[in-house]
Amino acid sequence: MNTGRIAITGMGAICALGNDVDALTKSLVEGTRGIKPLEHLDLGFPELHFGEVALSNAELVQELKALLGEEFALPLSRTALLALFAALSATREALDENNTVVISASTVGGMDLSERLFADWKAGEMTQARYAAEHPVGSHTSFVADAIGCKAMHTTISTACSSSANAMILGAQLLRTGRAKRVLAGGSDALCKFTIEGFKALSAMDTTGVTKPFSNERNGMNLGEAAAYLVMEREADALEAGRKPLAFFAGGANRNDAHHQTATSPEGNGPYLAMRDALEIAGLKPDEVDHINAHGTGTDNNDITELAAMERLFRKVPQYTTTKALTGHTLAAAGALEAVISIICMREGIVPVGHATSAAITGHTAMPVAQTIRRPLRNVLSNSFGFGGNDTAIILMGS
Amino acid sequence: MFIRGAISEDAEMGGSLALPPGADRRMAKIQRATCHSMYAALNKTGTTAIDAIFAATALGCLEDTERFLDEITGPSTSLRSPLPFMRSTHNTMAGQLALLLKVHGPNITYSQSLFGFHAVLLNALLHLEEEPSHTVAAFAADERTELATALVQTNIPGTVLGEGVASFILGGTAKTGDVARITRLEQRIITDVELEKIMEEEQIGSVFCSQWTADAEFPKLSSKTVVERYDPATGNHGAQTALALGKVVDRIASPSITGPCMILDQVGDRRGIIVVAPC
Repeated sequence: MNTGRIAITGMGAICALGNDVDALTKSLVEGTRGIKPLEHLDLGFPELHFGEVALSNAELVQELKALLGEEFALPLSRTALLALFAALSATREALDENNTVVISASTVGGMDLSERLFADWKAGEMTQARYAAEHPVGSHTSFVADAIGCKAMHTTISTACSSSANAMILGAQLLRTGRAKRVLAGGSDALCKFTIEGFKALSAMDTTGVTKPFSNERNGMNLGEAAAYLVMEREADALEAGRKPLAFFAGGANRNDAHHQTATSPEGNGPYLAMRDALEIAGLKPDEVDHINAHGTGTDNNDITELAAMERLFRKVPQYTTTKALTGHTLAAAGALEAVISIICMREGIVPVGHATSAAITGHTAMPVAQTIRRPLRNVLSNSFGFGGNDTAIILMGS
Repeated sequence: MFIRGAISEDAEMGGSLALPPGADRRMAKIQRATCHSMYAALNKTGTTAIDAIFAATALGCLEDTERFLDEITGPSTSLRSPLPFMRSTHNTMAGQLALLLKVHGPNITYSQSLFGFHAVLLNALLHLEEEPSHTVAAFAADERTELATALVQTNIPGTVLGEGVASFILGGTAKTGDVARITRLEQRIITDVELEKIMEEEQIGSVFCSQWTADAEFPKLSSKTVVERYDPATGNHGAQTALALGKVVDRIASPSITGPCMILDQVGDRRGIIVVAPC
């Protein structure tokens, strides 16, 4: 079934730059940064900066009760609360039937609850066993499916930090082959002690303040939290239903570096293959890409290998930036969040600044944008790479 | 979509394709079991090259997750080993296989209770429709721990948590030696009436069904259909559907099954079906 273009007709996001797409747009246009010490979550780590959502769990519950009614059994995990908030925002205007396939993504699921449960169990208690129901990473997806009245398939992808970009690729495949009428694709990950301690143990956290991606001074990432969802449907169906596409999902590719569980090959083989094949699937030449929303975590290994892959693929690397310097690295949510950001950038005609660096990484020439650029954008490539050598590139096209 | 071969029992290493010496000593239990299972499937089918890997796990690498939780709930220290954290991500097994087999193609891990493996097969089908000449490795793996067992017993009395791994080599075009083919996949809210209609359309003679929880209600199926609960044999865990598929494939090969049959899973009001037929 050749179904023409895949339109994006709805989007919702909650992250450190804002609780909805309008707030996120305002932050991007004004160049606001969302990285700072924790204010709403009682996790410790006063020495670190994060991209924290500016709502406590109690505030999220209050907002969701207003949307779903008192009778809806709300989840307890922050990942699921964030997911519901963003998914309902994405579907508020764009969804009018319940045969939507839900494809979500997460790496930690209900780990914030599991941490409490585990401490309880270690102390010889079993009083918090009920939290186990929300431990599986797929639990939040079931809450989203129930909240939007989904009767179709729902599933969860967990490929580390590329997860929600992969959710969008699967969504497009289901639409192109006629196996879905409409797809809600995205992901959610909340900040929790497990991931913070994990990336600390890997020496991957910036301990000096705000991350400095693609600079010689980079020394790690800021973790963040977010949920972001996009409504995808065939262009003809969207137009028939009177929904104007916000943008198009032109193509995407998931490839594996097959080099190391947590580090990318020096040549950036996986990232190169993902970007090259995403372009081929989208039917674009490298010089037709206007802007790259890079994975750009700010870690030593990621940035140099991603840059190597970009310089290998593009004769002249397009204007690139990493919005993780604004939102923090939101793990499984990053692919969908950065897809939303890419669409905002196309709609507003801006290339935002992540971290302004004065010199390219030694041995390389391409530098990230140093100041907000205003220009029309037609095609944006967004990279999301994860543990397990999992590398994904997607291409968004303006409407 | 054609099943070239399946491994659904505990697999011992052996055959022409072997893990690098000592490689599995550094692996956690679930990684080791997955690698042994997939290598056994590769050897059984004489497969030397894989183009894509699709995986399912409901609870992921529990041992390493608990090991890291134990570290971070212990005394504060700046010297934590990152190894259990690195190995705690759900796609550790699929990533490990890509690394060992040098697979640069798609590598996706699904997690949705019993339905993770249903999504694996769907993604494999989508991939093989686009690339019919490709060979796909598909597996599901889940492990149990003392804590997970205790939690299941507390939260769902009567349900015994199991563990297991099953691996499959899949192709998009028929090939001599294929053991079965998958003709239909569905995962959604399916009413009893719809289910009966699907069974009629597919001429289903046998249904292999599971219960995720001990108190779940199951549809009353036509008396002409042979219905068998498979989960008492596989145990209850996220990989049980894959183990059931492996056992169905074995029966088709025996051949104690000669016509199309269905694997039916139910979680709440949602059902997943896999229709398997002899080649």
